[in-house]
Amino acid sequence: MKGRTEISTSQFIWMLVSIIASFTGSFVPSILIQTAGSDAWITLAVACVLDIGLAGVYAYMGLRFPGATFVTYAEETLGPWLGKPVALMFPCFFLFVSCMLLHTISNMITSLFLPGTPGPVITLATLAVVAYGARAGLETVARAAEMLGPLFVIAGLAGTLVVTPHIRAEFIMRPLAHGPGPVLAAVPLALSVMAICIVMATFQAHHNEPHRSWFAKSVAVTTGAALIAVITTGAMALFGVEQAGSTRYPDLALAKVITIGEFVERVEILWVVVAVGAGILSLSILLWNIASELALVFGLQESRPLVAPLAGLMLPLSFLMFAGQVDAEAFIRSDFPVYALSVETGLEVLVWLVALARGKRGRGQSSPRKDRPEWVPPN
Amino acid sequence: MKVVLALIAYLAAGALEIVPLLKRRQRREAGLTAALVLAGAIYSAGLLGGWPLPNPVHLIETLFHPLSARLGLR
Repeated sequence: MKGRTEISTSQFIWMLVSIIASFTGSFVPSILIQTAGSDAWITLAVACVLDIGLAGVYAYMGLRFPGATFVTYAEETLGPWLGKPVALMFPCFFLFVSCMLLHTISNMITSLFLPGTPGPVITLATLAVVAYGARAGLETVARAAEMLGPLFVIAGLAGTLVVTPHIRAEFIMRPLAHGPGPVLAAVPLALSVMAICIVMATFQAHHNEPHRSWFAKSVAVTTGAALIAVITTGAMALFGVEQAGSTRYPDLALAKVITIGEFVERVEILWVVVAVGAGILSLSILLWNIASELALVFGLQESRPLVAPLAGLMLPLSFLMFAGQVDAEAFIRSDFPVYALSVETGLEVLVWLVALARGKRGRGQSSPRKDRPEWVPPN
Repeated sequence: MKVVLALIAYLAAGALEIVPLLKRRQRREAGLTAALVLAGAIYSAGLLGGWPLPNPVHLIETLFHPLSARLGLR
């Protein structure tokens, strides 16, 4: 493709780490603790292994159809009549999860730090930054991820490390005390949220070393899962399983007890800044991805004009979706894993099997499709 | 009043994107952009005006709840 943006392996990894950590950190910890208890880290480890296996299918398809995203090879494999609706399900899924993350971020800021500020103001301000980043293009958000991603990981690990003198190991030292049932019951939720980084299918089309995409994804998933496991386990070791499970944001509760030298206290605002920054970065990446995928589905020459209208659609949807955070948690706990896994796993495996059965292969990135104008990704 | 203001804001912001596309004869881009602006405007106006709008969460619950209930996810 002419004017194709390329990203490095390091940028690939840090973009995925930001997405995994912000989605998993926002949606999962308290539900995971309530379901799996002190074995939450085992659930995350199992989900991490399964996610790496799923990434293998995406990486294989990315190599089989060089330079193509899911949207392109779904259409090529399934044909235009079935392929287009299937391809359209991906941007719709990413739009849905982006609205969920936007709802969670706005709700966190409004309920904990700015209770007097109207919710729409917070959401509008967040969306303005998100849309600005997405309009700037993949290269810009990839560079931002390369800078902010390590900061997010270091802040999370350092915060947990600082509170280790206060933890009580007996809270978490009985692995599988209730058998494997609770651990396995929480795996679908953890996997469905971690597998949002199937966005790697789009990144791989821009990766300057596509044969290393699976490795990059594996490193990113392991880093993101380890970060959330450390924070979740740290919160349980500090507060106990029941109290940590009843806390809506265990990571924030952990940050509140940080004291350094008895004069550096109440540093939770720093954690919020880092966490919200990672959330905004993830939303920018996903918004760019939604616009790019829609441009491919509808055969557009450029995707940039779609970014602002998509952000304008996300604003009301993020308010309409859930009546409150309790409502959101009930949905995430019950129906979301089934919906997410059917898109993340079901559709990809379907396309993979059909491609194998029909012997379909990509024509390479140097030969654009004949039935649509050449698509130039935004720089 | 809030509904009218929301509609005006969306249509004005949409015009900023759509007019340059029409000048460049990118009709397909302009069409999809207009559709997205219209959807955003309707949802925003509906939210402010209390209109009964289709909620994507309800659609997903309708489609996937039987399976999630069978799997014991709750």
